[in-house]
Amino acid sequence: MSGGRRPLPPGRTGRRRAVVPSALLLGLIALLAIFSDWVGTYPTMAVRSSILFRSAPSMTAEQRRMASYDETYPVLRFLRESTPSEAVILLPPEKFIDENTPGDIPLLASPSSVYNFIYPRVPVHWGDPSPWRERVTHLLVWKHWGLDLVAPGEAPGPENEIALRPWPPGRPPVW
Amino acid sequence: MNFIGEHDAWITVGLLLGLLTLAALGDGLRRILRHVRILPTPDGPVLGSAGSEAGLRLLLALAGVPWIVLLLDHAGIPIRQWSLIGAAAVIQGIGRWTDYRARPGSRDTDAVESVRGPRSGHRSIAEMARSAMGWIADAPAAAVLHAAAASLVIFSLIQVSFIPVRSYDALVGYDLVGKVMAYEGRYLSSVFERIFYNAQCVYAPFTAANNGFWYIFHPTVPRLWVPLLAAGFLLWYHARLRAWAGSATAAALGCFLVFLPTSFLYQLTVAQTDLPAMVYTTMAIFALLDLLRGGGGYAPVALFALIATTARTEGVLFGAAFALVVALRRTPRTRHAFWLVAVPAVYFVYWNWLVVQGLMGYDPSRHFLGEVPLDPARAWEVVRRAIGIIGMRSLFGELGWLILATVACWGLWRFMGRKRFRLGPVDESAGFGRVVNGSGHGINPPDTRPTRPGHETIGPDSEITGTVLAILAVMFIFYMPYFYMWDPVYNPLWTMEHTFKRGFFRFIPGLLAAFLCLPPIRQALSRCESAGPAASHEGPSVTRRGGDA
Repeated sequence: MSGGRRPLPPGRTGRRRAVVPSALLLGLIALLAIFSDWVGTYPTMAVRSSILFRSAPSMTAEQRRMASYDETYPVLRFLRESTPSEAVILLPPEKFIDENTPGDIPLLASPSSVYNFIYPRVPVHWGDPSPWRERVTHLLVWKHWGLDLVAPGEAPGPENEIALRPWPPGRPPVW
Repeated sequence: MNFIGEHDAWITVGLLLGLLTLAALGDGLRRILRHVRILPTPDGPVLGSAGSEAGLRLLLALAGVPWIVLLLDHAGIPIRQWSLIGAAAVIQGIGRWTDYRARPGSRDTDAVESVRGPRSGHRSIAEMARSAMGWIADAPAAAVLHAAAASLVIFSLIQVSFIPVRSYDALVGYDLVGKVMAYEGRYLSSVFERIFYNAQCVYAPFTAANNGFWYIFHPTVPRLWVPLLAAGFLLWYHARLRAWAGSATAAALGCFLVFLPTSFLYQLTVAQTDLPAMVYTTMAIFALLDLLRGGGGYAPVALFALIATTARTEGVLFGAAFALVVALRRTPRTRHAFWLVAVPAVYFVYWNWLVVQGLMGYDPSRHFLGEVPLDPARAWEVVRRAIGIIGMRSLFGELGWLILATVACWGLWRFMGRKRFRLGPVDESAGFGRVVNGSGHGINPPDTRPTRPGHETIGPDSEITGTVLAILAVMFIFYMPYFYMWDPVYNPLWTMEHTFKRGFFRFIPGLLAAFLCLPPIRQALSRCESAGPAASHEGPSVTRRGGDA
């Protein structure tokens, strides 16, 4: 250091002199970890990471996704497993999905997040200026939305609350 | 088609290949940039330590990924493992070739040190172990804090490995673009042709390209670049703090604290644009500090401002701030300050006009006002909101108090010393593209007193705090128009918290450095170290005060 400090002798004496200030500094940081919002994030992060490290490796990637994502994630998985890779799927309006799902913006409510999970199938949300709206091949009936578009008069029930229906060819959706 | 990430495979050949590709890329870029004198030769054993150089390689490698991805894309070459490995091999080959040309005896002999940097010689494992044990005994608090800082990188690795991508911005933007890039082998993919995509897809390419890189090499952990970026930054930041504060404890404390503010720590668990923007903006700030203190040159500042702009394009505003800071010096060479804004501005134009508007068909200007309104009330509201966000304890903890304390302590110290503050003069010989490995003694007359081994500093350090605070203040002023010009419909000011809190990350490492370089803080922290062979692990010491004036 540049100024004002008496040079310390090398070796054990100097090391002994460094122990007390070091202990004081670390004690201060420990207090800050308990009482401050800034340093207090460290123990929280440490505990969470420790729990995660012990529990997560026993889960499969799919189990971790199911545990992490909102209730619309299984619908995306259903779409991926139930449609051919060239499918273009008509989905309910983004606002309808958002309003009927608790929590933050659900995965199903954005074309980008849907495409993230059903690629290479293409999502088209009702009402969006989607470039592939003319090529729709399937319709997702979700919470009975869309039932009247492909099966007018069909009574809503648990069996058709979430369902996949073929979209009539040559009849692009109009909004 | 298999769904990427369907299966767990933690240790794969792809993981090894990805790491080797990054190693080749980072090392090659470092050699080339040193050879063409864009990056300075590290000054002294601290800045040139193995850790600092490893951090620099890592940071350059991650910065190089989006460039390679876009070059391959524009050239019509599929972005696959083989093409990425090939590109890294070419860069490594060019780097080796420049090194070969700069070998002793060749015509470029004078560039040898510039390319390779100082070397402290090879040591056996036993010697290194003895040295490490001695160092722990000499600076016990620093050892504990180093371990704590390193643990943050491990926590980050655990979080990005086991928690799926959850951030909304990532799922509808960077992660999607990166994942589809891995599927299709092109950056400008079907995302921009088939779906009504979100604005996050057209953000500057750093995050999406690095996500895509790991989706290609090791899809089990596509955000692997986040802990790598954090590790590289900590290694590099540590060397800087250590050189400036002259204390291993101060450097370790800075590394421990820098990521801990609540909203900042979250960035270690997600892959967003703000962490890389912070890292490279900080590198630009510190390069500017070198320039102002008479070392370095314009090129490193422009380079890092450019890289920061590849993470978030509003980085160009900070390039303008850096140019103004240099221009305030009003020396004949300060016309080169133009490049500090011009280089990131060229990238800004390339990305937003050519790529986003031209090739993707998205108009980013819709998020901003078409004309500049003269509205003092709106300007005040922007500033008021910004200051309010900085002071929110739920976001930054006690950082607001640290800022006030730093400014107050520095002002008091200046007042007690009766010194008039001025930014250090820019080295007159430093043109753009020319790096001056100077001693940085520009502010006060050189201090010829000997320094303790391992505590060498680049010139008089007393002005580091003031200079960093001045740079950050100008940056803050230049950041405000970004929000002032927001379109009230697309981006109402009440949403400023989400963007500004993350934009403010760029200021945190500089603020911490300013605080830790306060003379009373440095002196207090150096009492946690013995004066013995504290820095023996750093190799032979170089007393730099006034030494190479």
